[in-house]
This record gives sequence, C-alpha cells and structure tokens, in this order.
Amino acid sequence: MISSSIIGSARSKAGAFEAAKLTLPVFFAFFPLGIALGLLVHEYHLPVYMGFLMSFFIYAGSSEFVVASMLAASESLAEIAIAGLVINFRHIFYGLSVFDVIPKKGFKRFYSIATLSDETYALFLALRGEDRRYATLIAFLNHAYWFLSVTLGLILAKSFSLSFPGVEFCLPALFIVLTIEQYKSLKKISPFIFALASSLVAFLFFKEQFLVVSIALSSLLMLSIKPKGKK
Amino acid sequence: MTAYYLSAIAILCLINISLRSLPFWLPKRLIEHPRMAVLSAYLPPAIMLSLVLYCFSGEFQKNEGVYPFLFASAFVVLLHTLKGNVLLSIAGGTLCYCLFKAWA
Repeated sequence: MISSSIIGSARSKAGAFEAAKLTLPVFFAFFPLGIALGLLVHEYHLPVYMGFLMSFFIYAGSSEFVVASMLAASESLAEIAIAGLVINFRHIFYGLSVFDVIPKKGFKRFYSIATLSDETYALFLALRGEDRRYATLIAFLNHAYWFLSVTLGLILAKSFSLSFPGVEFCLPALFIVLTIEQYKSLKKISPFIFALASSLVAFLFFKEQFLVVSIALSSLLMLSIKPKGKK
Repeated sequence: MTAYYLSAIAILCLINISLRSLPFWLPKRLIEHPRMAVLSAYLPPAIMLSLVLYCFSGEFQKNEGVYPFLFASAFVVLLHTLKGNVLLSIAGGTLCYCLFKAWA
C-alpha cells in the first residue's frame, strides 16, 4: 500500500519533470524578449510597477509592447482598449482546440484559461493523455518565465541606470519578424494586401487612430470573403 | 497618471481574460462559423503587418530622419530571410538601429 503510493508519487514527479521540460523552449524565447520589455518600460519612463503589472496581468506578448508605447504617448484608454482587443482577438479561437486539456473545475481551470498565451496554447496542443494533468503547471511555468524575465530587464535598467537609446526598435523588429513568420506559415498574400490597403487609408485619413482603423478595415475586407464550402 | 496606468492594466486584463474564456461560453455554432475560420486564419498576419506599418507611421510623424529606421528594418528583413532565427533578427536589427543612432 505504502510502497505503491511511493511509486505512484515518484512516477508523478517524473511526469511533472517531463512536462516541465516541455517548457524549456518557451523559457529561451521569453527570456530575451522579457528583458527587452523591461528595458523598454524604463526607456519610455513608465513607472517600474507597470512592468510588473503588465507582465503579470496582461501577459499577452506583443500587445504589452504596444500598450507600453501607447501609454508613453498618452493615448486614450479607449484606443488602448481597442488596440488590445484587436491584437489579442486571435485568443478567442484557442480555447476550442484545447478544450480537453483545460482542467475541469476550480481555480486551476480559471488560471489555465486566463493565462492561455500563444506559447502555452502551443504546448497544450502537444499534450497527450496522462500528460494533460500537468496543464496548469505548464501554464504557470510559462507565466513565471515571462514575469521573471521582465523583472530582470527592469532591474538591469533601474539598478545600473542603463539606458539604451534605440532599444525601442525591438518593437518594430519583433513585428517585422512575426510578419515574415506569418507569411511562411500561411503562404498567402491576400491578408497582407488587405492590411496594406487598410493602413494606407488609415494613414491618409485617420492618422490619430491608425491602428484601430487599419485593423477594423482589414477585418471588414476579410468578412467579405466567401468561405470555401458550405456548412 | 497613476489612475490612467492602473485603468489601462485593469481594462486589458479584463479584455484578455474575456477573449480567452469566450469560447467556453459562446455557442459552438458561432465560433465554428466558416467566416470565423477565415478571420482566424487571415487576421493574425494582417494585424502583424498593420503593427509594422503603425510603427512606420509613428516614425514618419516624428521630425527626425527616418533613414536609421528604414535601414534597420531592411536589415531585419534581410537577416530573417537569410537566417530565419527570430531572436537573432530582433537583436541584430535593434543593435543596427542603436549603432546608427549613436553614429548619426
């Protein structure tokens, strides 16, 4: 009886360790980007606590960089909200495909859903059978990597009063890279043409609400496409 | 200012949690609608390019030279097409921009 429970706990420890190993690539992806966000918060003269709060409560990669730059430019809350909504809109599709991986009830369920970032989603997709028990652990580790990396960036910037004029370029660089990655996986040119046309209209007529207008127009153009096959 | 910052955090936190939990509430019919499938495939690439252009438009509205920005952007594209390493491209591009700024 006792020995079987010991074996059981040893086995579950090994399982948890295996699951934790899955998160290593996420750590290596988050570490430099989190440091960059920490440095950026400092470079934009936002208060240090904003770095902590953003990485803990917003925790949605690229939108945090955009929010930091919008806050630094004192954009209105409504515009920040709409930008957050459109940039993170993709998250609305994540829950469905990992329905069975999400714990069934309680705080674990809430936490796994609330922290369902791109990276956690990708790992959840890879979880099979028994490993699904460790979903919350995986979500937590990813969240912790992000929070700690941003904290490290903040500490580096603050304590050594490091200033990198030009570090704000990591934002456009991130978006350029992600655009190329999107093209590589989709291999279609039309969404980019939609975005280009919408952005031109936004730039010419709605410079103040560029992002919101551009993304809203792109979405409208996309909704006009007839989906293939009837349902 | 503090109220402004904290409201922004609260609003975005709420938006994210709502977006992430919506599929567990909304009728499956709506989420699995064919037009939603189009949106989920096409929206992310369009948003990414819009974000790039958003950065460009901000840069063009400043009264500084845009050349360091354009040059560094071209460098990121080149680096990423050649090497395809996300972090290398971001770090390389940012370094290139920093050097350009320091030198200009």
